[in-house]
Amino acid sequence: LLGYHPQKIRKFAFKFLHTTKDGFDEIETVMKTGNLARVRELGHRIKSAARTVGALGMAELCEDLENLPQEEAGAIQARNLMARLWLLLDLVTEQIMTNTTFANDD
Amino acid sequence: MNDGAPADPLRVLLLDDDPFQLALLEDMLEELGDFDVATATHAQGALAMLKSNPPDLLVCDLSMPDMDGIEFMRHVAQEGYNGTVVLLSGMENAVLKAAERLAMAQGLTILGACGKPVAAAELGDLVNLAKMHRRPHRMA
Repeated sequence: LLGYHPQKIRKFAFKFLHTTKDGFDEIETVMKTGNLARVRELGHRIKSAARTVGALGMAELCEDLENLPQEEAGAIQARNLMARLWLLLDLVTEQIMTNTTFANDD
Repeated sequence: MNDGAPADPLRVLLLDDDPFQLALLEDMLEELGDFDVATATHAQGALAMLKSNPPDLLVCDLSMPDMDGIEFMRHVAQEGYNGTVVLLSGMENAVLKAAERLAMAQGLTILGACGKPVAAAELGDLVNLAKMHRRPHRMA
C-alpha cells in the first residue's frame, strides 16, 4: 500500500500500534459494562486495520470478537480473546520495533 | 494563478471511524496527486460536511458505530448529494455488493465498492473516474 518508503512504513506501523492499543483499552472498558455490541464494533474496526498491516493472526482473533455470541457466553469468549490479543499485540510491537528500527537511516 | 474552477483540486471527503485507516487513505491520496481532502470519523459529522461543503467524491466506510452504512447512504441521498461515492468495507464481498446496489437504487453515483485495504492503484482508478464525473461547482 505504501510502496518502499521505510519512514512512511515506520510512521504507519506505529500509528497502527497506537490505535490498536487504544482500541483494546476501549474494549476492556466496555467489557466491564457488558456492552458486547461495542466490543463487536471495535473488533470489526481493528480487524480491518490488522489486515491492512498484514497482522493476519490478529485480524482472525478480531473477527472472532466481531462475531461474539450473546450474553454470558460472549462475555467469556471476549475475555479469552482479549487475553490472546494483548499477547499478540506485544509480539507485533516487538516485530515492528525490530523491523523498522533503522527506518530513519538512509 | 488560478483562473477558473476546472483547475481546482478534486474535493474528497473521507469517512472512517478508524483514525489509522483515515490517515492511510489521506497518505495514498497525497501520493496520487493534488486533492482537497476533508475527513470525518462519524457519520453525523460527515452528513453535516456534505451539507455545508459538498465534496466531488465521498469515500466512506460502511461500518460506522453511530449509523450503519445503508442508513448513512439513505441520508446522503435524501440530502440531495450529487457527487460520486466509493464504498469501503471490511465486511464480506456479498455484503459490500448488496450495499452498492442499495445505494445505487437510492440514486447515488457509486463508482465502486472495495474491500479493505484498498490498493493504491484501485484508489487511483476510482479517483480518475471521479474526476470524469465531476460536475461544475455548486453554489451554496
